[in-house]
Amino acid sequence: MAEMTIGEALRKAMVDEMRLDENVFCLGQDIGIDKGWGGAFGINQGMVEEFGHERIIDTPIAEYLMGGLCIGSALAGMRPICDVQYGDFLFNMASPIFNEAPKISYMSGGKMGVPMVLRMPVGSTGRGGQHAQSLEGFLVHTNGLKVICPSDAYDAKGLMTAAIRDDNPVVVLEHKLLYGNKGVRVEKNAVSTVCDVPDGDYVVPIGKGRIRREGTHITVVANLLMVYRVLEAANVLAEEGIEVELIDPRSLLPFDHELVYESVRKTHRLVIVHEDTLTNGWGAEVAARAAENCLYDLDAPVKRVTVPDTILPCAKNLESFLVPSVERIVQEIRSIVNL
Amino acid sequence: MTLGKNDLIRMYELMYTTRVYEEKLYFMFLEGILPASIHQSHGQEACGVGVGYSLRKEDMLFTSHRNISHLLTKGLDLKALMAEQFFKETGCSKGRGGTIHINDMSVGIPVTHGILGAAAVHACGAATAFQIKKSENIAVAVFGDGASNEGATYEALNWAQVRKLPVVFVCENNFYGASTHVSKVNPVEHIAEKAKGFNMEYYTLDGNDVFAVYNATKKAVDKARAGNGPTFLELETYRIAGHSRSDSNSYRDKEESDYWISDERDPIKRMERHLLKEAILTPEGLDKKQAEIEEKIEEAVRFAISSPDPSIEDATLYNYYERVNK
Repeated sequence: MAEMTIGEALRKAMVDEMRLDENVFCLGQDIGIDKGWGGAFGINQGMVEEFGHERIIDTPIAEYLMGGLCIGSALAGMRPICDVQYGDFLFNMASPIFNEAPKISYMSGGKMGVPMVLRMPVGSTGRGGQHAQSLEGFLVHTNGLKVICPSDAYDAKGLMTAAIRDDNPVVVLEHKLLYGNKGVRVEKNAVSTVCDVPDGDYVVPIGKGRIRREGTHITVVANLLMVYRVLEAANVLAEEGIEVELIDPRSLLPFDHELVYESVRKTHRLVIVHEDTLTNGWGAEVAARAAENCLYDLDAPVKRVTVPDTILPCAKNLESFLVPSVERIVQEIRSIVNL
Repeated sequence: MTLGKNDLIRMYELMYTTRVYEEKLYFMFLEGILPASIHQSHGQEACGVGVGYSLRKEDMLFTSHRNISHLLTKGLDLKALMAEQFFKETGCSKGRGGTIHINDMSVGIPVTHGILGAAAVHACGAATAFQIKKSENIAVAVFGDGASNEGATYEALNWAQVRKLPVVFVCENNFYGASTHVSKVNPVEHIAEKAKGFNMEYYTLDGNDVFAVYNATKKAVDKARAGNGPTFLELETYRIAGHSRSDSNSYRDKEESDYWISDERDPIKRMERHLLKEAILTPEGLDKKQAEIEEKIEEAVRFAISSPDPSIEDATLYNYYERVNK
């Protein structure tokens, strides 16, 4: 057992799997440069020293190529892990991610799969429209893909291990503020995600959510950074006698809808909090499923607390206004409970 | 490998099979029997056969939508291919892929894509795998003049040369990307010249001469296998049929098409003349060979038509790969 940040846990998962399976390798921009960064956020640090340039491959700034390298090498028996540097660059690899990799199993009649992991840093950090998106809505609409979003070190290690071992393309959404509050590249306002990570082998199954806080009055579903804001909000509300049950889905595709239904049947209220924008964000699907499956269990309308439908700004005051804050989450939950 | 008599006969069989296969599809399309459009490689048969014949079964061939000669030469089963043409459960992609998404990994055919540019980057991926594993296998990307202008293709050429990947890029220049003439969208006389900018060895060849295609590809394949990096081959050929079945080629220059669509330039007629001249086959032997191939195609059609459709219950199966699917 060791205390780790998410950044360290992701690295440990990759290192452990690379030691275990010679078919696992990493590719991306700036991940293996000698005396370099170990990736834009330092997650690959130290790996080139252990595994060499043959298995820690620095690519050009050519995202279609990076996606294609994942697909082709996976078809030839490898298990590539690609650092996308900023999740926003997924649009430069849109064809391999949306139109090629996730369709190979179906189009081949189930005869071949492409095990590949795409690591995508996401989340608002004062970087504006092209470096701070949450991208979840685009990804969860893609059949054949899996999408995970760990919010603490234990889940990061277990989900990353599951992703590397999965025979399908898996996108890992890594929030820039959750990598950790220690290490060489610490973001301003970074949140501590440190927790105990077992030394030995374990996986967190993809598609299974987790109850992060038990409560009786309202179910709140939130992921990544919003998990921490809801936890803070829950402490404020607890003083008012409102007990929040917080579900971290951990995987967005497939999504653990059953866990949400079970909770709603107990609390009779549902709020969804995410950093992706409102319209067709993953919260829309959770709300629709709740309406289809537990409408008569609900005592109040379902509420979504999200970034409104907008491009993200750089200006700190605008960003803070748009991204759900603890105060806003408290108010929204309170308004639903008091209905 | 020096080509022996049996090799020449086999290469002829593969070219002729492709021609008859596609003509049969065309007639079935006109009769309304075939459930979809087709992309004929009529006139380009020497390209796929020459390239495919220079490869080992384990080598991976990434190709696209005008692909029958490549697939058959690599060893794909004719019946499974025809059944896929009819979207049947017995097809090589169980009716889910159709002709654009063909696969049989047992003969080194990963699923083909209808997305131009994909073949080049996927081939680089497979070549990267072979390089990491220190395998002797190589990857080949086959694409047309149209796909040669995709950004993905340039990303692939750049990276393959940087890493000296065991890959061969084969551009079948049939002069038309759908209806757009190659000269309207390229600033060079020969597409292969673009490889010069990547410091890559390149050649432009007569793609209707199966021996020229084979010899050049074999050399490039041996070079890649020896760890000496990629080669770019441009095979000049001609798409005798239209882009797809609804295309009447109204935009084509008559002088150009008269030059290319002639017995003299037809790759199959050329091979026939060679086989007869070298007395590898007698005229009777050639007739017999053709009749055998035509019957094999008929047999494949009967197999495809009598095969079951995929089951409705399985409509959403295979979205995710499970090892048991194999």
